[in-house]
Amino acid sequence: MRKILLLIVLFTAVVTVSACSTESGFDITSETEIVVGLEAAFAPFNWATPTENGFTVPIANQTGFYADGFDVVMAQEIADALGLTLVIRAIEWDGLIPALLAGEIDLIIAGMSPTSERAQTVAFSDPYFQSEQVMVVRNDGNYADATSLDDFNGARIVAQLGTLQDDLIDQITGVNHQAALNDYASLVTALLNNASDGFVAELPVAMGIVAANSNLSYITFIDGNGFTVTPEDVTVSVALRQEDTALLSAINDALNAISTETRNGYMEAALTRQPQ
Amino acid sequence: MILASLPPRDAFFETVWYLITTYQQFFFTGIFYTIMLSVIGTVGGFIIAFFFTIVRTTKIDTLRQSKVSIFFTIVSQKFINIYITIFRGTPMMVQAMIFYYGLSRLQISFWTPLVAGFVVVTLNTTAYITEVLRSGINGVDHGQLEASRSLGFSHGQSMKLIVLPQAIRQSLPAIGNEFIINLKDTSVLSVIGVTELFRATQLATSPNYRTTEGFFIAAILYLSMTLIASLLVNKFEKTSLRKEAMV
Amino acid sequence: MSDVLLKVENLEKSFGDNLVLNRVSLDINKGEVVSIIGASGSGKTTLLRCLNLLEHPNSGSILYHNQNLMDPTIDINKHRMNMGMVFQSFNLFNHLNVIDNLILAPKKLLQKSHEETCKEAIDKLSLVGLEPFAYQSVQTLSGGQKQRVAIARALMMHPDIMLFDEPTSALDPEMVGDVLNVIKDVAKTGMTMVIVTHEMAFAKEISDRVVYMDQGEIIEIQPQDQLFISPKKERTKTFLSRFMNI
Repeated sequence: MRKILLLIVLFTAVVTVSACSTESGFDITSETEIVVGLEAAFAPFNWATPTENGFTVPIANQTGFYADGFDVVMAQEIADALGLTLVIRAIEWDGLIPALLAGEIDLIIAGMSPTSERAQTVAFSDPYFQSEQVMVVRNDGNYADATSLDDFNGARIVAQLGTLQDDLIDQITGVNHQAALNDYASLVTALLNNASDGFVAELPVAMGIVAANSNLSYITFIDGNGFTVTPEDVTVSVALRQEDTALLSAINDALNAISTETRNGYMEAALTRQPQ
Repeated sequence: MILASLPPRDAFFETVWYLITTYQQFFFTGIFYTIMLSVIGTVGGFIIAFFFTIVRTTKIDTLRQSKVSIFFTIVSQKFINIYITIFRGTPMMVQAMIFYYGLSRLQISFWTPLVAGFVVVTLNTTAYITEVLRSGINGVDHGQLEASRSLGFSHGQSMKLIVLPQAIRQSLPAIGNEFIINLKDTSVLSVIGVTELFRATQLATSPNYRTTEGFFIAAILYLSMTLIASLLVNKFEKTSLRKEAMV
Repeated sequence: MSDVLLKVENLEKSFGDNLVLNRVSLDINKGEVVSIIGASGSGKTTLLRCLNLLEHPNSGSILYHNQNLMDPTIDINKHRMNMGMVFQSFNLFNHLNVIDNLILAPKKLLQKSHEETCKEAIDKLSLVGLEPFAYQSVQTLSGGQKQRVAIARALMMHPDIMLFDEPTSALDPEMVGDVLNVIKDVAKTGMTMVIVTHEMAFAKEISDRVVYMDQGEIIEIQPQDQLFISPKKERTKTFLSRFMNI
């Protein structure tokens, strides 16, 4: 009896797997929805909110949760350009690429940088936002008036785990590179409690943080004084499955139609909408 | 627009109130999933543990059982022991990561974090309750089994009719305790993105960076759930004890 | 010559290095009441528990209904249905009430109907004087009441032999009498009984034969009037002298 049960379970698993394997390429003409994955915890790119407004999109399968942010606005633009209904899924950062590969989502629009490591598993669109890397510091700390990386010699600097920002820290000579933390909330706490002297973040994110925390400010670096970055490092792109080639061209076309000024406008608007 | 209402950083209780009123939907969702996961995990775990226990207590009758049946019984019993060792010997957080990400590779459409969460809590709880039942069975006086056998019941019948019912009754406090532990431990499922209370709090505090206030609220909510659950478990214990102690 | 219901031959039982039964042989005849007396550690309880194989002897034979119970191929459960046992610590099923304790085995093992078994259970409970307690939890009963229920429970299976393992040793003195009366009533019905007991007066009153055991051996088996009044062996005399004036 138990053997039969085992066989049934195996059979069901095999059938389910084969029935759900990804089709060859996302077909825009036959699909009606496009599913976008984001973290919903990375303001001002994307965050979760309980109140609707003109920009929010409901988070799938979570009544009462809406996604807002620059990424959400861009996702809506792309969906409109493709003539598809936008569906948003909130997924933990580490789970985004696996979810994409598994077919749970079709795109990742989550403030993700198109690093060469990631490009080995997924395809990236043209950048949809360009930014710079800044340093967030305490107003009453030793580094509030820093202007270049050299000023951070001997400082305790930290960044989020698994991000480009963490890699950049080592460019500072004599830096005390602290162990990476899980999320931006932890970085802010570390800084406020004087466990760190500063953390590296993208400008929009830094702006959002500073708006919500009056004890903090951020340092921008003029050319030459800041981090040395490749173009990919300071941009964010849409990630897709490598086989969705038709989708990739369509998205790039859609992005080309949105000017840099419009995009920056969206980012500023998102910053004002972010709870602060 | 949420904008202007976020209190300044040093206004702790105002910020707490702000978070409660603004993000109540998030907290309700978090509470809902925490309770759902705990209830289904504990009940499901109990059911599977019950079957495991029956297999575990099956005596092998070398004369009357077929070789295939004996082989299957031995293999099942060994499997159960290994299963318990693994699920009690690894953190549920690690189990969640392995199950969720591991099975994601198979690209099964219904394998969402929530489904994975239910599965992991259930499998994890199964291991603990199986051991609880084993203790429970050992705690049943041996005379019960002897009386049953002397009437002519087989070992298996004695287990099902006499020993297990009493073992389960004696194990109920420990099982209730397991439920309370699950209320707290479902928080580890946040790492695979299940929107239980911990993750709901993360989402609520992420854009405003009011982490302390947010998790202060979470702590109170968890405490409320565990206290209520404890009260229910105690009440249940008292009523079943009272039934037995009626003089 | 009466029928031999249970024929025990050369039973040996050791617990580890400890030899508890040393080649014990005994015939139990149909309809007779046999008491087994002796000091603690004499092996009398072990002997009784071997009769329905609750203890498994190392060697020897137990013939019952033309079968050797020591044969591993037989279905011991079937035979146990014909052998009722009453334990020193009652062993009533704690999770069931009184009447459920009685009807469980006949319903499940003898496939009797619910109505039939309940009716019979109430009858048996009346016989032992406990009918009003039928629907109570067993935890509420006194020791004497529990033991009477235990006797009724064993009788529900209509055994042809009843085994009593020190049935009153765990009872407060004021309850002993009631239980002994019930056992006497059972004996009056012609039931074959083997009783391990310390109650000498009771053993004298109820038994057909008495077995005296010491250190794993049967020292003497006699009809009761002979063993108590003029025991043949010295050891028997010494033992009995502690309880009665011989």
